Amino acid sequence: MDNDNRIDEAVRRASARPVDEALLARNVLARIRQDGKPTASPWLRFFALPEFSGPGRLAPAGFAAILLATPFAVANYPGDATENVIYALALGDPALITAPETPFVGSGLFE
Amino acid sequence: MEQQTNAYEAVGLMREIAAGREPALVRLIAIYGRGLTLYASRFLGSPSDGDDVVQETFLKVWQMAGRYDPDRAAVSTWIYRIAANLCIDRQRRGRIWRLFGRTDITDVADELQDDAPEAAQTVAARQQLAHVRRAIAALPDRQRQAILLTAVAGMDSREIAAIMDTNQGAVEQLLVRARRTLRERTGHDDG
Repeated sequence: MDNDNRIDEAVRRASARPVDEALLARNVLARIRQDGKPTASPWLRFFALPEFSGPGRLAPAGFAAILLATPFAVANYPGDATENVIYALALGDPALITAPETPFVGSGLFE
Repeated sequence: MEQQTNAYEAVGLMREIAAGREPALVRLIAIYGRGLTLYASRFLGSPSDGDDVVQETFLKVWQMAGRYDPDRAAVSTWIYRIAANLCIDRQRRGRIWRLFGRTDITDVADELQDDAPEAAQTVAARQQLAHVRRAIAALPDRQRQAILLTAVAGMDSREIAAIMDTNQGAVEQLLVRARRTLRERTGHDDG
């Protein structure tokens, strides 16, 4: 076995863990039946938005706005609406809060 | 040979998934679920984060199967690219959370107890495994991505280049650097 293969084998061994594909399939199907909604609190996914976390885009003002808006949004707008409220406030456009058909719902932005 | 069979079968499965047939997704998970889980778990250094990313990957496969074009990429390349991007997103989020003091660092010893009982029966073997895991975790992101895609997922440099949106030469360089660093840090050299 040459050096490269020896390293690759060490990486393979270090990466080994039990995987239950049947359980994985059940979990995926369960999430599909929830309309693709993840089980974690949806507003947490905000930090993955490219507007805020993309390369060079984490503007302090936007981040601060999210932090300020989050407690209000979580308390008053449970579920998916929360994401839109935080996003609207972070963008400085409160009109979006009151629009249940806000353009972000179902846009794929949060999927 | 098995990989070729899977690749051929996977294209047909993607068509069925696009038509909303769940059994096809279950079969696709049986083909790629294990490799994706090992890749994502080791890239993120966390089995639970790895599991979550793989679930999200197949969720996206279900939602976007209609957009898959077999003329542009193999199914495995397409799926691993989704997973690789989700891993990077997840890692980026973790770094942001760590700025606020929330740590989510996997305890290597606990992980070994849960995940590798047969391979690490002796203390020395367990320590060596933990040592290699730390060395992998310390690699720059793109080197870690390249070495895991080749060693764990069994991809060649052409496929890795497509997944990482770069060229084969750059992938070869990443692999050379990753293997050299791992060799230096783990003592896996000649002999």
